[in-house]
Amino acid sequence: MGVSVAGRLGVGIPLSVQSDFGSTAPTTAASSFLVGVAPRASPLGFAFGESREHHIELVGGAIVSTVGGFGLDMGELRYSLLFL
Amino acid sequence: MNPFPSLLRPVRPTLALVLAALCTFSAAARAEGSAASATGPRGGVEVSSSPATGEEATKAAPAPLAAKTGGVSVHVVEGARVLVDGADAGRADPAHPFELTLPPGDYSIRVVYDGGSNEKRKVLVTEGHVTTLDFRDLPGLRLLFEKRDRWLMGFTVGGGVFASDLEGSIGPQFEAGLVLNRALTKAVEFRTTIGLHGWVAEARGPNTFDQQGTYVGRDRIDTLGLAVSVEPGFVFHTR
Repeated sequence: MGVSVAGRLGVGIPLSVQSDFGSTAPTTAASSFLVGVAPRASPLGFAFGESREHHIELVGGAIVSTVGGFGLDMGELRYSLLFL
Repeated sequence: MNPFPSLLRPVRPTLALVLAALCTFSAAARAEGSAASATGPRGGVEVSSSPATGEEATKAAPAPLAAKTGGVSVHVVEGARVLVDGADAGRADPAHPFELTLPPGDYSIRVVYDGGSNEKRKVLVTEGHVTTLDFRDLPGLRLLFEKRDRWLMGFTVGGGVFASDLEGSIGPQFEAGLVLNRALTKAVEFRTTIGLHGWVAEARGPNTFDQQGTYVGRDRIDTLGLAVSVEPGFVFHTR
């Protein structure tokens, strides 16, 4: 049993469908397909367990898409359970 | 002819009693010693202490051995030799803790890995206690260079806040996926997450009324996004 402080750097490759439902009229719904990159970082994380199999991290990042979309990952708490 | 028959008669049974008592004591001492060893090392190693402490232990012979010893449980990450104050105490393997039974005192425990690296730590053995020495996580920069060749896989879930543009849209995000994790060294892991990343943006509660305060609509969700994401990255551990 040990606790480890972890940092993380990653680049996501999102392929997404984004639907815009407009304002008050649902008939204005439109969809856009975006491909982009999503650099993400986790400056703070904790891993624990005999083999550090439990990992909790705070993830932040951005998505930049090819169709002008820009998403800001303002913070996400992520839990990972690893096993053999 | 025995000139002192009256003297020898009482002496013989006395000698016999003494011999019997000595044999009984010796057998008991051996039994206690083997019992102490059985509770100690997996590798069958029992390391004696420094000479001074050993003499003290010998003088206090009637006391049970287990009461005059302590234990050290050594955990290693790979096959290694264990040295106690420079003396070879046996071979440890990562599957089981390597148990040492030692008289109380200060010791220097060194593990020498098959790969050539070694690590030394001081330990104070106290009577009746087992101290754990965990060499599996090495401190400092050595973590960066100590190899750890291992695959792990698992799953991941997460949630948070996502802004889908720079115009104030904000909403919850969520994701779930599989994780493939490759430990490169004890400090660095290469991890790839493959999963779904979704977000909702935005719920404009205040905008459901226009400037004149006229109700123009209900709260609504403007944007739903769903992405298949492949996210390789490195994880750095401090220990």
